[in-house]
Amino acid sequence: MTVPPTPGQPQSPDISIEVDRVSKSFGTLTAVSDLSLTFSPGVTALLGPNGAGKSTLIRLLVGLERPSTGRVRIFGGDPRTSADTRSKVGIVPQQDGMFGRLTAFETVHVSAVLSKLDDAERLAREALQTVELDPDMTRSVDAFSKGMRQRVKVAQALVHDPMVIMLDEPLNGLDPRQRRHMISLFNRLGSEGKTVIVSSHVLDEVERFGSHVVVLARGRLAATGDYRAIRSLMDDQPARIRIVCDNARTVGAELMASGLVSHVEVVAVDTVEVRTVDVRTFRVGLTSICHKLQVALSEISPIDDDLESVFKYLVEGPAR
Amino acid sequence: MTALGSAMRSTPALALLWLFTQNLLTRGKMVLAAALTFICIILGVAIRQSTTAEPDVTSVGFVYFFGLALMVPVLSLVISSSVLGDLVEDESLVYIWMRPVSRATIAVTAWIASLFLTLPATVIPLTLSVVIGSSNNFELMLATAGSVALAVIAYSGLFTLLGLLTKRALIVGLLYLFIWEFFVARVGGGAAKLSISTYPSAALVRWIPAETLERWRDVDPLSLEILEERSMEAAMIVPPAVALICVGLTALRLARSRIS
Repeated sequence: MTVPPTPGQPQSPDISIEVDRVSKSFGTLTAVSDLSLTFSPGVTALLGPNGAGKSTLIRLLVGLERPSTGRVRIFGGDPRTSADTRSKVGIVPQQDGMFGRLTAFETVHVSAVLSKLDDAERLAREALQTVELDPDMTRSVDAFSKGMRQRVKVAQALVHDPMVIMLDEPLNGLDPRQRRHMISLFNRLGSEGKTVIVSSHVLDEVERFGSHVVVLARGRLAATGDYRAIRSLMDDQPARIRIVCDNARTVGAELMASGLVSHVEVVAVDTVEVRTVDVRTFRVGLTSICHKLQVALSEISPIDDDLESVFKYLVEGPAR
Repeated sequence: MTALGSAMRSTPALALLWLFTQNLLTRGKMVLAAALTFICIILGVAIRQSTTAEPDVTSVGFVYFFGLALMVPVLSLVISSSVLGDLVEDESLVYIWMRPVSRATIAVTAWIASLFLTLPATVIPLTLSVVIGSSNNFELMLATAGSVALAVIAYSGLFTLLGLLTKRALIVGLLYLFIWEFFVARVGGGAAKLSISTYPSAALVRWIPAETLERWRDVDPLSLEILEERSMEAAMIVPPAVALICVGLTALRLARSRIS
């Protein structure tokens, strides 16, 4: 399921990453199966339950894994073989391993020097300050909390100002304030024209990255695009709608009798939740029913156009 | 600290060298190197104090049987296999691999970093043991330092590659050393040609004073017969060639394998 990008996200129609019929197998296990998609500047959330193939896809995107079939191109180059392509990419891997005996500054400085930056020391300091870490800390990374280590990982990924940034579960271990800071940083990078791919399985965080998602399920592409648009394309999945009115029971019974809805649940004296496949017809019908019954309608609101509902539908299939 | 550290990391190759060396300088490896130095000094003193009439031959025998056959390969294994092996193990290799640095630079600097540590940790104590144990023969010292350096050059290349190939590099390396280098290759013939330790040992034999060599022949003619089959050219060329091939294979492996 693919929908056109929403305005402002991504910002440019340019394709920065192209995944062409990529599959990856480990022995008999197929982690990613026949995946074709593109990434453009802006923030894209890579979603999927554990084992869906998110980390494998990120590793394929940056060249850490060789595809069993298909190919990955970043700005037209192969990240596995092209140093120039790799210089445009920053990665925050999921694994915790780092150069534990180095300080945060040394870690980021080495990354900057390996990226052949002219003013590596200044850029390393700035990258650390971007993630709110003190460059002059003398403690080694081994002595850091998980959240601090995570921030060092982000700093080393940003130090060379890459055009593509891939972050595998980057918010793990961060406190709420740091999470907010990181989310705002990723959104800022996206709005500056960088291609930011953030993998996560925590949906309420992902919603804050923006609305552009790539959903993986069992190694396959389940959906890509704006998740609200994806929801609207799920024609075979009844939309859940909450109606607040002054006689919920009567309205519910009349809606069921009219055939406009497939399911009715009165959840309070003034609230009824319904499921309908045809939202447009339902809205017209509801207005005339309320008019006929002389019922005051105070609210009609969709209750399943959030990311979690979309995600559950795509990954688990239609609700029964 | 920062200025010196920054200067030591001023180019990608220097930064890698600095990084690999920092990673290698663990307390365990330092203790092992210090313990081996201590053992060499003690044994040097023991040889000196012993009633043997041939301290030079005993010292050379010590370098051949303990130094070149055991200490150098085992210490090289411990140090070199962990240069890249530890980074694969803790999955931090990705931070190097993702940078626009050639795989050959990574492989060469990893090998040089292991040389930085293994050379002084083997050449100094073994030469010191000869200084203490022998009749202070300068040729003997040079022969010891030279042959040990040749062995370190080859083993460091081999075990740097091994550390990248397998997470059980220590076990695989020890099995290789004990089965192939210590037993099969010492039988002589074709197996000896395929043994690394034969070549530095052959260099040792050709570099020690003729007088010491003749006395050694009286004590251990079989070993000398195998070692003298190797030409001086082979003794000088094979260890660096082994290192070169292994460093090349390390670079190839870095380019082709999946990176943890």
